Amino acid sequence: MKKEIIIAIVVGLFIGLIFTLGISTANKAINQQKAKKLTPKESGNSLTSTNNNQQKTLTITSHENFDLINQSEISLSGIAWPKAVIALIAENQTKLIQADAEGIFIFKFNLIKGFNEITLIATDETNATKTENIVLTYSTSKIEL
Amino acid sequence: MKKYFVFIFSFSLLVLSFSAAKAVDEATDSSVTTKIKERLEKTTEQGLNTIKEELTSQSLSPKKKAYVGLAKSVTDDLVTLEYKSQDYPVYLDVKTQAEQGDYLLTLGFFYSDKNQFHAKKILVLDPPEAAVNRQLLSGQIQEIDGNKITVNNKSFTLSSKTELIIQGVEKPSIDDLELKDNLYAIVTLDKNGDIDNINNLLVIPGENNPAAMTPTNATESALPATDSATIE
Repeated sequence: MKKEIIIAIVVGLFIGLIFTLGISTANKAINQQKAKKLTPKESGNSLTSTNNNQQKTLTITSHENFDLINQSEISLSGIAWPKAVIALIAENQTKLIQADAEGIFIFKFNLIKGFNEITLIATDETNATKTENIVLTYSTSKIEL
Repeated sequence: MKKYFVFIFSFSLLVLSFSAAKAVDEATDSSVTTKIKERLEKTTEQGLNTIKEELTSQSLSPKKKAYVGLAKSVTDDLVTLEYKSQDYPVYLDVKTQAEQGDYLLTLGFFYSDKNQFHAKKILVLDPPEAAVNRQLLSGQIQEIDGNKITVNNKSFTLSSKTELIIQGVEKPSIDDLELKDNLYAIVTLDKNGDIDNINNLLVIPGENNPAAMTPTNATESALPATDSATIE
């Protein structure tokens, strides 16, 4: 009787293990298929970001050309490329800063009354240069729709 | 023999039921995850739609603008301004005494739906004087001789008005400069195109400069990270 019980346990374990292994293999296969579906999108993103890194652009994000502003003090910000050196040449002042690791820069300065012709130049040690011009007008006179 | 088979059968059932329970658990987990994902996607989509609507309404609302330039043509309801070789039509919502050839500053609203700028106020200005020729000069320092620096075979002398920033140096002076440092300078040129004045100087220390070893905060570097100094 003891012998029979041991054999029954061993055989039972064996059959159960076969089923468990089968289910686990099926689960793995399903997960792999899901992963494969996701892979093309991810590789697409990495390609895009690589291309973006190769492009060196200068964009002013805080203001648009010919904006009318009723405050003298402004924060002119934008995006260039990581660690680019940005020069601001405004009517009454000039400034030089370095963009951060993401290429973001902010200039805080005062506009003169009337229109201000502002030039931003981004450059780096490779001599890559991008220039953006913007006209901002500072006026406190009220205009209504 | 019968007992033998009964044991095998019952034990197999036990292991099978355990496996099945585990599989059901996993299936339930994955279905809950899918539902959460779907809900999140739905919420995100709704949020995005709201933001899109807000942005659309914002972009369609009239924006305060001020166009400047030389009046190329003036009629009762339209002025064409020329600024840097480009024409800008300005629709007049006010009467103006401006004439062709006047230099105008027009304040008003830009309607993006109509792609039109309507002036509410028009100012006649004196024609702007020729702008001072300012340029950005960059390169590695080739020579330092007192206050005289040579970059790209161009030499210039730092003045007392020059604003000096050396990355990683708190109180920068000309003594902190080394050969092969990367130098960026905003310079004013004279009528002959020669350097007349150095307005700003930003130096990124090179391999010869001990300041290059100083760690800098990437985020703060977007703003002047170090104190600036004027050359004495």
